[in-house]
Amino acid sequence: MENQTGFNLNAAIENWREELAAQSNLTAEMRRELETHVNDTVAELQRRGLNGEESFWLARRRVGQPKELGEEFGKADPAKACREGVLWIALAFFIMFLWQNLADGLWDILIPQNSEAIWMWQIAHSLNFLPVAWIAVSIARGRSIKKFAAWRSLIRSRGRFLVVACFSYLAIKAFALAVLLTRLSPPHEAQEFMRAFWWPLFSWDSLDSLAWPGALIAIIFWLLPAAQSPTLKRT
Amino acid sequence: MYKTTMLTKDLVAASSRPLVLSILAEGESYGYEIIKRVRELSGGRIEWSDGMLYPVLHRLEREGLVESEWKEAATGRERKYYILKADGRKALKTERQQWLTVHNSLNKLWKIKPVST
Repeated sequence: MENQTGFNLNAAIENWREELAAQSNLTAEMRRELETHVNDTVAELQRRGLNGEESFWLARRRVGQPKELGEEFGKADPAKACREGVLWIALAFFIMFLWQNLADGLWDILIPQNSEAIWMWQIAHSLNFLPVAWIAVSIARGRSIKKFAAWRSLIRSRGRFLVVACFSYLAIKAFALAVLLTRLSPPHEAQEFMRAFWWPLFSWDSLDSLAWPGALIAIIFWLLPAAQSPTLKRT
Repeated sequence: MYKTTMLTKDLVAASSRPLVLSILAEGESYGYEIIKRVRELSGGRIEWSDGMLYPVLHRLEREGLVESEWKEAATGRERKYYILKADGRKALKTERQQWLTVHNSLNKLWKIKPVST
């Protein structure tokens, strides 16, 4: 939306959102709520005949300074922003865990199984961190909001997260198992399969493969809102 | 032109709770609509800084008096709706009694006919 003075409403709102995002007391949901409020105000002021620039500045003034908003919202629920921080850290660890398992499965296919390939594994393991570094750089550059917005719907509610998390964990485990099975030589197949499949369940190995994702899923589950109903159409 | 008397900051803060609870008792609503309603009801004399309403709503939600959910309007706009819970109705009853106590006491002092509770 552009007028003669070169004012860009969308860019102005985007700037304002960034100012809000700098307030550590405001959770993503609080920011979303304030954003819908400013959008509503702008829409109504425009209906009353103000142009984009006037409407935006008035809406911004009415809603209050981002810094003041951060302080006021923090007073209402001091622990909320902290909880959200922990939630994102737990999610990051969980995604890292899934990614590492998936990547190792992929490398298993690509890298030959012999002792000379150790150096290839070392390179592979360091390559695993590339996407993580890419995400970290994107977030640091403030590009997080739009790029990762689509992912947010996966954690809208506890139930949805639980389904998505368990499904992706099992899918990756099944993939790793399938990779393993294709590598088995026929004479030892049954024996090897039993060893690969059942042994981890009764060994310390299983603690590593079950306890970590289990604990992370439990933490995330607990931190997510109990029930957020799916969006309903209103007429 | 007459000069409108704006409410003091303290009074705005104190009255936000019964006002929000009473508006939600009429039916679910979202922040922007609640502020508009208060402005209409008071003839513009209660002017909330828009952003300050949300901490009030969040506090009510934390106390278990209201609950919230995101809903999409027909226009595609999403809004966070607040709904009064049973405990909220009880709290509103108490608030109402307290405000009427203040109201009636002042009325007696000012010799105005009291409002029945």
